[in-house]
Amino acid sequence: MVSLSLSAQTSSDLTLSGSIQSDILLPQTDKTIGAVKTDDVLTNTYADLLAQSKYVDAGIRLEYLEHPLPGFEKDFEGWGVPHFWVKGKLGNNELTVGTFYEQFGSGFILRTYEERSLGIDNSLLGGRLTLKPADGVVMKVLSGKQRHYWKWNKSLISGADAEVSLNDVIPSLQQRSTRLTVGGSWVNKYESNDDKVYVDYTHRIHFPKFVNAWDVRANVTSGVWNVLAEYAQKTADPSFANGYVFKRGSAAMLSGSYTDKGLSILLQAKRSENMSSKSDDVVGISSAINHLPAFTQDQTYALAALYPYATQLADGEWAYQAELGYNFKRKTAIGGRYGMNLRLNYSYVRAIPHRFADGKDRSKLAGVTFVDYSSPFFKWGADTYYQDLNVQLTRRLTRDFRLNLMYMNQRYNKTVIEGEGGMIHSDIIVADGKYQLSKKTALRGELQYLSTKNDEGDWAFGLLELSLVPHWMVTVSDMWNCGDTDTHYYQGLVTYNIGSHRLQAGYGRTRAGFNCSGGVCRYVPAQRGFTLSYNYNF
Amino acid sequence: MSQATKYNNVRAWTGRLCMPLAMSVLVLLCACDNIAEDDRLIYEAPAAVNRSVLIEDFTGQRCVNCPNAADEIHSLQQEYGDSIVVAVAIHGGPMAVKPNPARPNVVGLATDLGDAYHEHWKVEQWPMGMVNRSGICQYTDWKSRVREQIALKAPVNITATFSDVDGQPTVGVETMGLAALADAKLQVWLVEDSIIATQLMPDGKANAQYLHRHVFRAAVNGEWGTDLSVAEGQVVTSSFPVTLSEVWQRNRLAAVVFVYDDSGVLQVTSAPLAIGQE
Repeated sequence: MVSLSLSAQTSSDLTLSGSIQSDILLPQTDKTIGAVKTDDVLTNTYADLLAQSKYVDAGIRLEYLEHPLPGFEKDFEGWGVPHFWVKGKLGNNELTVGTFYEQFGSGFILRTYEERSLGIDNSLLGGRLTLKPADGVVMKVLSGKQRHYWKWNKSLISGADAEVSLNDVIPSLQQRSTRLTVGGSWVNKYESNDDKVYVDYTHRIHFPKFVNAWDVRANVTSGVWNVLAEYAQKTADPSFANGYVFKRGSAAMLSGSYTDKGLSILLQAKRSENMSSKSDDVVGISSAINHLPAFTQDQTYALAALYPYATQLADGEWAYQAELGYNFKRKTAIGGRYGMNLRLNYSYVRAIPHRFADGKDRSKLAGVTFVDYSSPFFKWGADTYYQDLNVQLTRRLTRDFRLNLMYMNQRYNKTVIEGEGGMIHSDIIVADGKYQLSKKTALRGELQYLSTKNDEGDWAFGLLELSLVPHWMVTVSDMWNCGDTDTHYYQGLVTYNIGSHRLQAGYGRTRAGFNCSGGVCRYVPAQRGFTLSYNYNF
Repeated sequence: MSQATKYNNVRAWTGRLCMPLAMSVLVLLCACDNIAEDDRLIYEAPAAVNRSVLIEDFTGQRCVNCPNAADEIHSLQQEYGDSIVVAVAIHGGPMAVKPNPARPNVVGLATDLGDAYHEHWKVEQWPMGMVNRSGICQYTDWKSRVREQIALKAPVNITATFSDVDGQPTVGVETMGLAALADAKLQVWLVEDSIIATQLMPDGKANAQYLHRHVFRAAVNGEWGTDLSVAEGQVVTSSFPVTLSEVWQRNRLAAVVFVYDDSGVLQVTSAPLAIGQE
């Protein structure tokens, strides 16, 4: 990965800034893990330039992905300037013309964003007007076509959003400590309905030209309490992912949290049904108009993240999450001399029922063409998609040594998420210790073990990371499948930071895996080779 | 004009803009397209059948959704007949299973050439396929592609026979130009039908008794076939000896013969191996 950042040039009227990011792999063939050398050099390289002034901002991005890193979709290949925009500013109001990213509410009906590590960039090319007619009121109107790698999809996406802070607009509420914000959004997809998908030899599906979606939400904050409720619905949008069913989609979410004096509690529930929304009926990760967050904890430890969950947009799900965190104070019986943090997280994702006229209940809809089903709101389907119970304990044992321990019990329905493999039930333990050797030198180590009788069996992971502040970091790790394959995925990295520059060089292996979506699977190949990563901001 | 006055002017202007904006949004909201239940299908007359079509089904035994594509082919062949819809299941890529001498009980249907075809056509999701090489598409699009392709006129006719000639299995091919054809290719493949082998099913479970249809086995005349030029009315004959593997069941073998050029597959036919006939 190579990243270059040029120093900012500022004058009283104009500010220039930008960044360069480049990830490079020199691939090698490795028959043990199935890695194949497809090219001498592979790189994902991005260069952003932003100009800002009092009334006008503008930006462009150059992307060089002609020989991309392994694991991205074929259409990802290419190079050019897919991002270019100009924004005019007048008072608190803005008009953007060109490409832009936007999210309404939690993203249930609209979320365009860039996630380079996944190859996601579903920006809109068009116009957006943002108005703030009064304190606490924000209105947005937009229209555009969505990026699909190196082209823009034919569908026209239009939408509007309004969010009002009632405490700012209602005088009698201005002095209240309880704050209430309400919002509403609408998104319309227009596409020519000339797609030809036949259900038999003389009848093709009459696709709707317009698909509408709307979203309402309210957020109440009162002292230590916060509650967010959101509901979205969309009209019939038959597609490959949902089995070409003419059925409304919906998503409902309730989230509450409490935070006070070292105690934090989070409770969340979400039900979604038939909410896959794309600007082109393609399989894979591109062209998504919306995004429903997974109600599962993002795991950063390698083995805890081995089986990650992704929201089943088309098939729907019931998802629940609860989290309890507590900081034990310093110099108490439990907290000890330096204090201790305990966090308990539980998430559970369950299928919703799809009851077809033949009496069957199918979890997956892809491949079931043009057949309607019923799905009672408060009922569960037959399958558990995911379950994760984990407890983490962080404690500083001495002035120089901090220890983080974690236990996780996970159930991962590989058949539903990846397409095959059954339920994987695993227990994972992690020990992460960091020792401050001197003021500028720290050594961190991880030991992880995943135990399962399913899939490829047990895994072990070890890591050592030496930090030499402010410039150097050296990391070595090995992920070892000590179950079925007895394969080592070793890696060594050296990182050097200076000013706005960050350079990382490494060598190692990464494992292969399947990435499945909407009934079709994408293979992410294994790789071995030298890596170089460079970042620079200016 | 003071800054405060400017700011108030902008606010007033913004406020005036809000009402028409909200009205526009309401109008757009009404742009709803609810399609009545009785109106969700559009009738189209049956397609004219002017030529046969080749479906190349890129598949794998570990691909849970691939039986859906196989079912689609079966449905198409029931509708049009298997002489009009000629299918070849090309096992390859990471979801396929290759024969492994160390595991003789596992019947793997992938081949090196199948992998090469997957790579060449940039197949990265399964199941996928091509109808007369008119582009990679999902199996739900095959009905539509077949309708389009069978309605087109073929510039060439193919007659194929697959027989034993003095104990040597041989594919005989006769091509007749219905129009002048240059820079085309004649491809002869060998397929084996009705192989029972394990297949992962859409419910994620393995079916050890799955019936695999028209499985690609080998290319008889090279990976991309042999050159073919034919004038209108001209008949070109050729024959291709076939080396059979002991693993293959002779009575389930067939030759799939097709002519293609840069525009796609122009005509296709198939011929079962007729043992003992000349």
